[in-house]
Amino acid sequence: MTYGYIRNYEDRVRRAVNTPDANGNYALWQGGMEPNIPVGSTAGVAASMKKAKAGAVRRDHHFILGATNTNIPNYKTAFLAIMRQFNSKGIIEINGHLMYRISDAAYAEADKWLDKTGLSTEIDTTIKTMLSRSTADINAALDHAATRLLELWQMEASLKTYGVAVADVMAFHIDEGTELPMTIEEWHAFVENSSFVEAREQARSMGFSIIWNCDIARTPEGYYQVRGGIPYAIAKSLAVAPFADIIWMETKTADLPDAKIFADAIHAVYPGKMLAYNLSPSFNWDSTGMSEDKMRHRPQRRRYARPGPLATQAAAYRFTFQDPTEDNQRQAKGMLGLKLYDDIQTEVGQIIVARVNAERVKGLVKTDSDDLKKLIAKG
Amino acid sequence: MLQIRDDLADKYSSVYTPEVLTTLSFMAQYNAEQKRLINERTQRRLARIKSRTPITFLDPEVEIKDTGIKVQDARDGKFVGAVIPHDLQRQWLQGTGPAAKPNSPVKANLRNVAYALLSGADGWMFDGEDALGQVTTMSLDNQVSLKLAIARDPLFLDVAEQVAREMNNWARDFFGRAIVINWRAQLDFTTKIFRARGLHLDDRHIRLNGESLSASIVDMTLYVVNNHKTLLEAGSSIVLYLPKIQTAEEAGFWNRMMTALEGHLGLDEGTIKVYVLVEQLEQTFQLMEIRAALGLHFVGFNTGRWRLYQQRLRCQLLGPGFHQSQH
Repeated sequence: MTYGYIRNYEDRVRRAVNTPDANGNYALWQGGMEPNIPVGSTAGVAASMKKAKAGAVRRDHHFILGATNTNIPNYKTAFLAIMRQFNSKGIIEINGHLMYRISDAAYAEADKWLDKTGLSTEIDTTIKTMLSRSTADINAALDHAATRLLELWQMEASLKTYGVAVADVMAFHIDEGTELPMTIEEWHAFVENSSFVEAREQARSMGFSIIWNCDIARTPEGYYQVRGGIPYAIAKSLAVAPFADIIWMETKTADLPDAKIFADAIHAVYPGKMLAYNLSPSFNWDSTGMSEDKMRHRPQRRRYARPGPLATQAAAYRFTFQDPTEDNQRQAKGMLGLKLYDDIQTEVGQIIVARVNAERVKGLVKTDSDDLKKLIAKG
Repeated sequence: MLQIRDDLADKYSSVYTPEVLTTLSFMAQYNAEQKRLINERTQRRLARIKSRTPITFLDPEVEIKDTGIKVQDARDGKFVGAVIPHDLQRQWLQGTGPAAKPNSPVKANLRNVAYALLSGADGWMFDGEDALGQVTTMSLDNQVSLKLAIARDPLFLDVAEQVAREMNNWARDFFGRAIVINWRAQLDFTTKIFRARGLHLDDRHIRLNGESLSASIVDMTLYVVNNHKTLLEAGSSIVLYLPKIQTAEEAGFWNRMMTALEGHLGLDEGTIKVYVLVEQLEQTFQLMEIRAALGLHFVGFNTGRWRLYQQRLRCQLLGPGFHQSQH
């Protein structure tokens, strides 16, 4: 049994509002389905994800990072080799690498590189100093190793955008006294407004066939690595601005200067474009337990700024901030206080994992479920 | 016979007015039907889950229960619906948030409304349901704020002027210019919409002959009775957001309640306009029927808050053929 892809529901809404009534009147449709949660058959979900990724690559190529030194195991294999090392060194809970088919030879090459960079030894030390075998500690250990890998790999691969990679070679030749048909500034401007193929042609015409490979930098999930940040957010937002009523910026931590750079950049191209900013879908600031006074003081303390205590979902012209993690932490602690959770842990600094007290929950819902049983019996 | 708990009748006399209480007594006739519909909803869903019966479309030949409208006629547009009023024709940007905060004084609550109406949004849905923390008397604080703001009470105007000043101070620093040029005129720009609580909830402050009273009846009655004159005098529509409707039969029930309320207040049928939230799978099998059942009151669907959790759960109940991406 398969219900249709969410598009089917959209179509039903569309038909329901676009059918005229007896007097020829139509109805309104507000809002859209959540676009980032595809629902449907396996094939349907896979197809929509593929489309979304292709769109992202097209739009983002200025920001995609590639290796300029390719004499290195690819990032994905190195990452999986780390998981494999944890596993073979006794941390059998880590087994994600088993989902991938990587040859022994590729693993051997990756291990050699991990030995050479000292990461294998670091993993040994990390395992020895682990406080416990809890999920949290295991994840923290893996997270630490993954962070170190990213640092070492990016350094050795000399990871950069294509534009920067060519500019670096240009700078080298200019230092040597070579005359080039364009300046580095002109090159950067050219890259920003051209496709990857055009940029590569231009570089070749200047005699630069550089080594730049973005595929070996892809993550185990297949994502390209990008130079994230405000410029990236601005580029994507400018691309959609002509089609959008409002541009909405959302960040994990609030930073007014970032928001200002973003707003100024959008307004430079689209003056007066409506902007919104939020950090959390929570509506009610006070329900987070913060007093008016505390909220008023928080901005200075954290160099946040917010115009007032209202947290609303959409706020044209205005910028509001909230730290979602604190909110969730407080909720989790509340549940602990009510004994609904036995234990809570924060993993990777972001995910709250709670052990639910099943008996307590059962006890609490008992009255309701008894009533419900009676109700059903009556019917 | 209505009973209001503790001293709330006195404390909230500005929203529990004699006219409101008379109208509530009149609307209480619908309480038994609300209870019946919710019991039926629970049983229907349980039976469906137990027998793993998929949701289906209604039989085109039957009548949508208690509406006099045949399902096929509804689908063919053979019913009289609403004309979209002027202040709902442009709703490109709609904001949402409650008009009250937990344990806050009236002035602090009014700041919420001032921000909303000065935001520049085309419409604002003042939430009496999910986004309103339902602690203590918040549902009443929400009504108090809305009544003061809609009536342009001097207390509200003071707060709005202050909020506009604060917004401009902030904006001069951030955008290099003020954003609220004429705060009084700006207050009239945004269309006010109110979300009443769904049929699944009962009010916590009023009882009817010792029994619980539907929160939908209470919310709708308080908002409409307290504000209809001011809204209509200002040339504004009376707009409700109806959440959690699952079937056309339930939509028909809302329709009867609204028509009765309008009749009681001497308003034309269809004066109250409603958006219906689409947030539930079963509902998507009866959309045209829901529109028809709400007749002159219906202006549109809102699909902005698709209920992901319920969908997820339902998907799992439907067996292995249904997948949900983790992305």
